[in-house]
Amino acid sequence: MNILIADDEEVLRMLIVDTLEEEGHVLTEAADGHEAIECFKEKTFDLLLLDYMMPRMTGIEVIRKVRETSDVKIVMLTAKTQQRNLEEAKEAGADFFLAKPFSPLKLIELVTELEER
Amino acid sequence: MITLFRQTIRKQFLVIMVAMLLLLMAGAAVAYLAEKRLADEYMEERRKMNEKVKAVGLVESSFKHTIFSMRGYIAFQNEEELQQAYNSARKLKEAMRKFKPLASSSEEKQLVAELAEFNGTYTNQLVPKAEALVKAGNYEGVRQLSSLGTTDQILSLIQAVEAEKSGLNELIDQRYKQFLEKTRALNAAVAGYFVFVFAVTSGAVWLLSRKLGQPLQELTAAAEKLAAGGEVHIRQIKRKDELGVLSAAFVHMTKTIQEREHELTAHNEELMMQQEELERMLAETEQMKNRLLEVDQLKSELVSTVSHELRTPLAGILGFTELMLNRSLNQEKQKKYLTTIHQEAVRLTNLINDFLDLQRMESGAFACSFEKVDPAPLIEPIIETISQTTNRHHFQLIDQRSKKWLSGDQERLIQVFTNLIGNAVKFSPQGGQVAVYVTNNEKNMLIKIKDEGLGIPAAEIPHVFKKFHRIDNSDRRKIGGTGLGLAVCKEIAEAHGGTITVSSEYGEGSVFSVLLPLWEEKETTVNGERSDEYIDCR
Repeated sequence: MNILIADDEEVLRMLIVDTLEEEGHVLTEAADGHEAIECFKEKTFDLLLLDYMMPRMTGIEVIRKVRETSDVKIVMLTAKTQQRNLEEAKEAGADFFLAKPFSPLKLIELVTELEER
Repeated sequence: MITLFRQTIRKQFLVIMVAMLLLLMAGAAVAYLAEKRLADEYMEERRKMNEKVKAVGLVESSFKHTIFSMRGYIAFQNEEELQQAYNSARKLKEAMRKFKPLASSSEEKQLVAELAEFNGTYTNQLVPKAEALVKAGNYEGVRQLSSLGTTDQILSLIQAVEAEKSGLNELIDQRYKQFLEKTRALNAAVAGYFVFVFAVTSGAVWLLSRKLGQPLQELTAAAEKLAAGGEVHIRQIKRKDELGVLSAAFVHMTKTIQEREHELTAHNEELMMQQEELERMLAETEQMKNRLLEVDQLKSELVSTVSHELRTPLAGILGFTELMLNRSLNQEKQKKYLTTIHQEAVRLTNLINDFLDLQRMESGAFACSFEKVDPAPLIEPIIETISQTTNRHHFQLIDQRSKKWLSGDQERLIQVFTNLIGNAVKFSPQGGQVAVYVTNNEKNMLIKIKDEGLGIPAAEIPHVFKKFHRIDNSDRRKIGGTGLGLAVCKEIAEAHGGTITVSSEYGEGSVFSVLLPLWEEKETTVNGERSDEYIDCR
């Protein structure tokens, strides 16, 4: 799968990249919302892993922007305290949520499941 | 208000009416008496006159009888006639005696005198003479006697008596007419008097009602004005009747109403002031509520932020640990993961330490112990330590002090300088000079940390000392940090009675300035073991 990971934390990007590349996916990194939008202009992706809290542009704003042109599957990485904002994210077009801190094995499971659909 | 009505309007009317009644009664009485007297006088006069007339009639008839009988005797020599003549002469004398006191006028008195004289002469001289002559049969002598003027005298006397009689009758008529006239005049006077009394009464009533009406009108006007809400200045009418009382009551009422009104106005003003006060308080409460809501929102944002900040390193630690446990990794990867796990664990520790420090400072549960501090020996080891982590930067400590000591908490100041010098290195990823200047004025020590790094956008400068505030810039995000360092520095500087400020040119570097109070020797001598004292920094 062609996956875009948008997170401002380098460590988390590294974790996700290392986890999913081993499973044979192709990963592209974006350090914030703007970069994510830029990546979407250049390429198409099968899956977008999106951090909720990012500088400059929040995850929700990124979803709205992405949904203008694409129906890519979107998984939001959130902290539990942001639960109350999940409705908003769902409305904006997020498909799945993964709470931080997350298990890499669970992430693999989720991605595999999404791939099989 | 209980008042005695001393001179009531009813009484005044009563007085007028009683006066009128009395006047009318007096008038009637006077008129009655006058009329009675008039009538009595008239009747008396009339009685006298009638008596006189009767007397005169008696005189006339007895005189005529005397003369007539005498003539009969002379003519017929009848003794009876003579006797008759004497009888009549006696009767005449009797009548004369009756008439004499009634004679009032001089003519009457003269007539009485003449008659008496004639009678005397006639009965005493003429009659005896004539009797003798007749008895002698001397008619010549009788003729001579009568020709001596007796007959003429008799005739004139008869005439006079008759004249007197008719004169009296005329007088009676005249008197009657006079009486009628007087009665009429009296009646007219009575009528006039009644009209006068009525006019006077009417005038009095008119004056009284006018005296009542005018103040009533004034009172009515005043009452209407008062009802319309105007100010009324009415003088009390000095009277003893109901109007006086009414006026006094009205003045009292007006005064009371106006006083009440003033009281009400004052009360109203007070109420309005109270309302304003209440509104002001309400606004304050509203403000406070908003502030509390803001604080609440900030708090929940903080919780959200802290949660996020804690979860991020935890996610790294847990994730890499899980990968290591579930995958067979080569040595290189293992080392990389372990380093990352370690880094994240340190980051987590720093974050928790900073956060707890800040919480303690903000809640006031944090105390500084102030002592004599020489900043240079504090800064040198920090520079030494940090310089070992980089080879792109070179460090400089420029000491330009004139005073050696500042007043501060050594541990806390190390925290501040470590943070600021660490930031200077972190935010100048391209390297460059990091200079620390130490200067002072009369009261304060100034420590400036200058770098040649990324700098801070002007719009961000007011926010750099806020908790978890990070400048939205992807370059900076690559530079780790808790977002709490500067907030902690600010709290510490302020706890010292000092300040921390920043000036920066975006892209050129930043200068952080920490101003701390100098150590004052006097304080030590006065306060003795000042350095051992713990003072609440807040």
